[in-house]
Amino acid sequence: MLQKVLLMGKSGAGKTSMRSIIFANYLARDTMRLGATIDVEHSHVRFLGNLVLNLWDCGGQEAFMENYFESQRDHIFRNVQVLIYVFDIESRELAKDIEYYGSCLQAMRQNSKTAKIFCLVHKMDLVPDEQREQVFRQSELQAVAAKHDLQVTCFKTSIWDETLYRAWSQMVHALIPNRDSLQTHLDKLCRVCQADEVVLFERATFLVICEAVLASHDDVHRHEKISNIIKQFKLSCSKSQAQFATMQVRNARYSAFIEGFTSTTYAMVIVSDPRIQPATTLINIEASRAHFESLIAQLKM
Amino acid sequence: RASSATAAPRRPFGEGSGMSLLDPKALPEVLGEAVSPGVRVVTLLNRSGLQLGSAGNNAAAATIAAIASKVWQSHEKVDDAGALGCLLIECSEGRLAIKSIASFLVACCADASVPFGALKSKVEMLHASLQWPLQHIGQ
Repeated sequence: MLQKVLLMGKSGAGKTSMRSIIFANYLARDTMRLGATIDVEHSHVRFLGNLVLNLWDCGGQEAFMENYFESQRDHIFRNVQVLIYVFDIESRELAKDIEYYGSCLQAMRQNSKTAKIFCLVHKMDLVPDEQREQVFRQSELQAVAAKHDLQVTCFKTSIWDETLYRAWSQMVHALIPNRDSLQTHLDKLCRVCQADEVVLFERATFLVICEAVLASHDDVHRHEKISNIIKQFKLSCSKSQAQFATMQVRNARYSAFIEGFTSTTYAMVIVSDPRIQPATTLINIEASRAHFESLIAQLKM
Repeated sequence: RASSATAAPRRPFGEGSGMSLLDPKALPEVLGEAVSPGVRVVTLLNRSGLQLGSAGNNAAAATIAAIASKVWQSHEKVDDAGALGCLLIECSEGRLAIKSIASFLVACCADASVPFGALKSKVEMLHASLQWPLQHIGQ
């Protein structure tokens, strides 16, 4: 099943860079060589097996933007499941950016009013911590959306840290139906393994699909940090002609197992009880593979 | 006790056609049934020599597991060795009994004060308790 995802925003905001990092195995520094996107670049990305994301990366140069709202309006804005609007915090034309954003929302309201809308306020790494909330302008963006009778979810992002993974994991969640049954089974696996938590990552992107947590943890952003770290490690393995397969981290406080799980996922299991033998955890991961393989195959996309 | 031993290490996973996984807390309880005066440690291990769980002196379990798997493998490598029922070993400072259960091994290490007959019947009892659950993990 095809899910149409629109990526819009001014030229240079970082849309193609983001898409390349999440879906095309670019490292952050690789994106420096990307040129301006001409008109719309279409890509089909397979996600979790059955789901195909039909990404419309809409070049943000002014000429194209005008085009989208005029002659190409229906073509662009019809049948959209997700709109991702990217704001560049470096932009010196804030009023114009908001104007285009408003035009997008208007077109969405007319053509795909049930779509989920996300705003990414991007390049946050260029802003010192104490100023970030201010440049985020979340309430302003939500107010504009409210005027069009729409709701938007906003994220602060940067390609240089885990915030990119946080935003994209959550955006992709919106596209995965029947996650409840997956959640229930993952919770059970976590309980039987006596694990602190079990997390499922999509194999190619390392975005978090599902998480079962039995023991709370201070760092609420740890999963996207792990996505970021492991993805980079996985890519550096490929660059050395090696395939990342599994990773185990063991210290006095916990054992972490990151294993290839189903054909489209990796699983991470964290066990902090020292009496539980690693061999047992690995047996249980192995034993639940087939069950999850069929569960995921049945997610009706 | 015997009926709880068969149920303990296996816990049904889902509704309907459940999936069996190994309960890491229940396993030591089942192994603990073989612990009596003179028995130092009882451990369940995989063919690579890594322990799944133990009862008794848990600190010794990893070493015993590694040794047991190596000794068992040495036998299996011999041509025409035949299927091994149970291995009973007299050491200078104790004795060891090793038996296979499904794709795993159970090892029981004790003082010389424990008769070999008793040692053998302990591993046979664990075999009876654990054979079915261990064979059905993941199904």
